[in-house]
Amino acid sequence: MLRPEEAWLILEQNAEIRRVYTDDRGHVPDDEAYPNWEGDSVGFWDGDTLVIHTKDLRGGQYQRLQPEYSDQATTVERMRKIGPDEIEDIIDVYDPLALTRPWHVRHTYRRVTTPNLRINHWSCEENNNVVRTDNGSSSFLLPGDKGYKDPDAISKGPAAAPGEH
Amino acid sequence: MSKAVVRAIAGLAALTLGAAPALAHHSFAMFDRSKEISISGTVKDFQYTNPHSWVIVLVPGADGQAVEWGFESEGPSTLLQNGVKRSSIQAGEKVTARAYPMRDGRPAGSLISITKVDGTVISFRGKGPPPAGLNLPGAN
Repeated sequence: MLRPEEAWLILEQNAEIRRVYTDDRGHVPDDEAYPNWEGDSVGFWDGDTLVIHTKDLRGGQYQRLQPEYSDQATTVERMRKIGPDEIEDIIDVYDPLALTRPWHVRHTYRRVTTPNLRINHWSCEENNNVVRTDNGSSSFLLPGDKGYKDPDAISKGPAAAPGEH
Repeated sequence: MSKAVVRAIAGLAALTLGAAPALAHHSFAMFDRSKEISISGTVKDFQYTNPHSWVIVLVPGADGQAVEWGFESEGPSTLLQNGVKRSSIQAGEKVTARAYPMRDGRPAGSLISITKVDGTVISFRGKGPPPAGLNLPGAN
């Protein structure tokens, strides 16, 4: 969603919203900033390209099979529409703690053309049994494991959970 | 992987071991993508959920006790793009699941496809195998 003073990037995953301020304001002052999942993003329009600088990210894992980034990660993105159904994001990641040199990567977003498919609410908490392992990787609890959260029991409420009748 | 990252990951692991918290993302490292397994049984549940769907299959064990297998797949949005609907798999159906097995030998895997008794094959990898990742050092 684009306005002259702000761009909102609304994500299906976890219903996240990235707010990119394009009204020439600076980043949040250091004594008000703290690491968070979306970071603090400011940007400007270079023709049809949205240029975004992001800092104050909370360290995490990029994605599956990918390493971690630190709280010190900052990014510069150049995002533009490159076709009727595709948006390109060219990203430089700077992370003095987790990277030995800046990481340059191109990411694209493709329009979903499945008929009648809606963007749904999408929360990891619906069914998340992932745990961190001793070696810093991840695995999950399976049905029967201690601590396993049965998504059916959760969605149907305590009355439907075994042993709760 | 830099030593700093090793220290950061090791530190994080040490901090979180006791609590075993839920993570937003998980790696694919627990699955062995060099192997495929084929497991037949009866569907107990199709958990059509985010972040991942699961097909739970009861498999007769050697001692007569059913073993509960879990097969992880993508969330509903991705499944719908591949034509897999909530009704595509029903509890009580006899199926054979193809999957990449767990490295630790537990009864679970990353689902590739389900074959029903009538020969219908439901592909859970409509766009090919899972992404290989970025192949950056330190991928876990």
